[in-house]
Amino acid sequence: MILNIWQSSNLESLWYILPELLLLGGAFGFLTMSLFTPHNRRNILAWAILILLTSLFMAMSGVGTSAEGRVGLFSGLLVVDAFSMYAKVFFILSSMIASFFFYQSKTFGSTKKLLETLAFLMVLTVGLCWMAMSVDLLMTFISLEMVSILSYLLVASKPKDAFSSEAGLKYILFGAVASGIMLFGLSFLFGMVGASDYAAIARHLQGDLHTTEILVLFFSFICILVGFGFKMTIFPTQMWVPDVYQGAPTSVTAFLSVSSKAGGFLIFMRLLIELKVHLGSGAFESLIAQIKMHEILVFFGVMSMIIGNVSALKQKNLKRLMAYSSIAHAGFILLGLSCLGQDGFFAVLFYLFVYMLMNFGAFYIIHLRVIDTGNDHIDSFRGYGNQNIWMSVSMTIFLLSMIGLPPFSGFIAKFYVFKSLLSQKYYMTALLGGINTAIAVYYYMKIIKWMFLKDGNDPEIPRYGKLARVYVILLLVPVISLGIYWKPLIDWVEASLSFVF
Amino acid sequence: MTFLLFFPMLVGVVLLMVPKHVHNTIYKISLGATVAHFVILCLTLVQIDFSFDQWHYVVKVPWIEPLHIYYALGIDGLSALMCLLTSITMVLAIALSYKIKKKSKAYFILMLFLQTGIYGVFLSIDLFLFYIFWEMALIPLYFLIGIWGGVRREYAAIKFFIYTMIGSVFLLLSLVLLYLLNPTDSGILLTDLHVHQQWIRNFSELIWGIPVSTMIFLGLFIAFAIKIPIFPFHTWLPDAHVQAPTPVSVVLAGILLKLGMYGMLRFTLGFVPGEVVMFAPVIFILGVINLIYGAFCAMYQKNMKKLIAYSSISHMGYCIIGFSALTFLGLEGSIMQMLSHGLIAALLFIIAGAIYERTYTLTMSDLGGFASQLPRLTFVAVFAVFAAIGLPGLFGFVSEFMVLVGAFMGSLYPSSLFGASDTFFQLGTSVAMFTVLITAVYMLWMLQRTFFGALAEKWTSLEDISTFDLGWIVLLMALIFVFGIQPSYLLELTHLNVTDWLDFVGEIQ
Repeated sequence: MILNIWQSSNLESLWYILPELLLLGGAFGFLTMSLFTPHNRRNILAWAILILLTSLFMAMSGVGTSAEGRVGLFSGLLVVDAFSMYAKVFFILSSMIASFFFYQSKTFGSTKKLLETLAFLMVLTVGLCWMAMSVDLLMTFISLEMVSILSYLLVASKPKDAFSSEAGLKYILFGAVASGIMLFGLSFLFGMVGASDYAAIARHLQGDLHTTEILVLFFSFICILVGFGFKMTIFPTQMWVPDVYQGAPTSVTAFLSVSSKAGGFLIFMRLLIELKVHLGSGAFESLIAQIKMHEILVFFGVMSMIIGNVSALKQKNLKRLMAYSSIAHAGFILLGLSCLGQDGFFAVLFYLFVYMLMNFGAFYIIHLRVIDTGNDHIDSFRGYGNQNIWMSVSMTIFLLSMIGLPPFSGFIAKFYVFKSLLSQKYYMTALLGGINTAIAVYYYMKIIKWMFLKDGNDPEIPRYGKLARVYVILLLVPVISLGIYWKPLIDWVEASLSFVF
Repeated sequence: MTFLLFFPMLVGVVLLMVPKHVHNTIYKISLGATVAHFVILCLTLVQIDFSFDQWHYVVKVPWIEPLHIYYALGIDGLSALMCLLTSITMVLAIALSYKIKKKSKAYFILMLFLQTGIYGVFLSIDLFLFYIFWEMALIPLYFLIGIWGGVRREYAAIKFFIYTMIGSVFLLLSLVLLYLLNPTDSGILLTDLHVHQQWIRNFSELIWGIPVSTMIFLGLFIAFAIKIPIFPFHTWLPDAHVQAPTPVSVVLAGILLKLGMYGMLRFTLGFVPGEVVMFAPVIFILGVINLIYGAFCAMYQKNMKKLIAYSSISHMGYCIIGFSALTFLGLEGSIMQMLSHGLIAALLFIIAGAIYERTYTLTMSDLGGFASQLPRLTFVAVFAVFAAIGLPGLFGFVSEFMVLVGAFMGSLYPSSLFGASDTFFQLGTSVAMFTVLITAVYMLWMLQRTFFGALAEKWTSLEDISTFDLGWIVLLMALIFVFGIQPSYLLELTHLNVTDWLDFVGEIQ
């Protein structure tokens, strides 16, 4: 299926990126405000939420999407279509959840710091949206870097804290290497094709390819995967994850583990989608078969799961444990992606959305605990079930959902991944995924065990504000209700990919 | 039907609003709820004529259309029996829970949630819904063992959870496979098993050189075998049963093990009868191993509760051999054995619990001579032991006899792994019959070591069980006695199911 993309003029293009423009405007406003007198922290949060909410509504109501289907922007750098809409809604929603989390974080206690961080967050959101919209190698790279640089800033935002600085530095070093390798791969691709936009690349890849061309393509694919995989946190680019997740403020960790990971997946999916749309199904499948894309993705996915799950087993530090769990989840999502077909893509989008909800929830309660007890050892959950039954039951539900137990939405996400694997007859992969699910039970249950099965030695009962409780409930309700009735979400996911399949 | 299913959970939600220090009110509400639930169930069952038409009160609402997932509930003879067993056991377990003072509110809420989970397993006729309840029953149990259990409760709880999760993964994979391959426009419902058997059998594709139907069989078999438990997968059971608090042990032995056997009969035999016929000799041998291995393990236990746990493994072996023989008597006996073992094991665990409560030890060398000190408990124990051995006139005898005769009459079909054979089951059953002897040995020996002999000095001030406890126990004993004399009430309910299954098997040949 080859779709004609209607190119809009540069001025018209601005209309299509209105949600992003609003965010950028908000970011500049916040930065300017941070120069002046102190403000009320709560007002700042309210403004941030208002800006994000407005742009979320814009993105959802379809300002920027058109009846014509797909629209190319800025002479073919970006594209607006149903998939970009999913990405915009996803990232803006995630930033909205994160902005409240940042507000609660001690690291961003001063108003100046909070304003700056929220400004970064908005720009980051724009970068993430553009990652999923870019249909040009150059734009892909620039938007990825835009996200990376701001992430480095967020991670290192505790200037006096040695862990945070170390994490920031590690992140920069690893990130720079990954970007360099990706740029290397991109330049190979560019050199071979002579054009940088995906449509032209696809046109060049049509028909029979020479063996050398396949080799170059294979090489550049691996290099590009390093760059994308760094964001996805998959093997073999997962080394930075535990250190950075541990060092960064918990709120930033939660945000990175959701948005940055989803960014990696969506940018990769955009590349695949464009290739598929422009090549047509037959040529696309022969291409991915020639460069062994499926096998590579399965290998990396399974390795990420095993490394993530096995390393998490003995982990005593909550943030490191969640870091490894996020690697394992990335591996599992990659298995869905490795199917490279309709079901797999649906499963990935579904999984990412559910993962956003449950991961923010789990991290938020960990964050509360870290504030209560002052350390992020698993011991801080000791006897939590006696102290605050509602929070600990919520945490249990988030964790059970991460394990993939019904009737929570994590189970449905897992179900769709298994379905996509089995429908493509990848039985071995499905079995490995299943075994890893069973391994993961141990360390999630470990947190639950510390909450309920160990008696507390801390008589002080923590009290949380109304906002914190509302926040947890807002995350909890979709985690449960999407597990019981998930049709709206899967319908939306299917609609956002309807132009591909 | 929906009301019947969610009633306990609803009460559990109501309990959330009760302040937690009023132990007694919470206890009374939950006990009242389970008793009321039992009465509602009985009233429902009385109105149903099980002799015609298999499914009754069928509720079928489309849930997730593109995947053909339905919210579908229904009741038939087998589920009716299982629900009865569940209700009886839950009423007993909750009635005897009044001693639980630690976080009693959470305890009763979890118990009620557990009851809904178990009911869901027995009442759902959609495979997906079944899986959801199957997992839902797991979560409360983890906490029930983990929080209120014995010394090594954490270890036992996590071991139980991980074992069952491994089984669940296999179940999930088979389930996804079934939903994917389903070429028909209807859901995977128990009401149209024939249709599903057809396409599963005719599906020609291979997975790793093995037919899809065999893969589905293996997935389902492993999942259910862990729960039953069948020999190599049994190691979670002694830990979980020993560490669990008495009422939870009662639920575990009374109902949880039957979930596995129920799945085995309902889904394994329902979806892939051809494979069951094929693997019948293997299942049979595993069953015999269960019987004899479990009995020998029980004989060498020093801990009374552990002995009962192993005797559970041994007794579930009867279910397995009755199932694998695929004869009318064998299958009915298997169902009866589920019920009788549910009641008798519950009684045994109650006795062990009562002793532990008084002496804080279950090591049998420390005990002895309670007959003079605790006459009521001794009477109960003697009754329970004879029921477990299979004394004629009691429920255990009926089921064991049916299973053994049924298995003896069985013969291997030509399509089984070992080929056709008439003598296989006869030889095997003859070996299995020795279990009856071994059971008598370890059970009587246990009775002798705990209740007879010389009474140690330190136990001279023990109090006998209260009249309240005794009342519930006598009710349970009466059931064991009545069903032992007149099992035909129960048997009637199973006829349709069993003829159905035999039809499935007959179609294969």
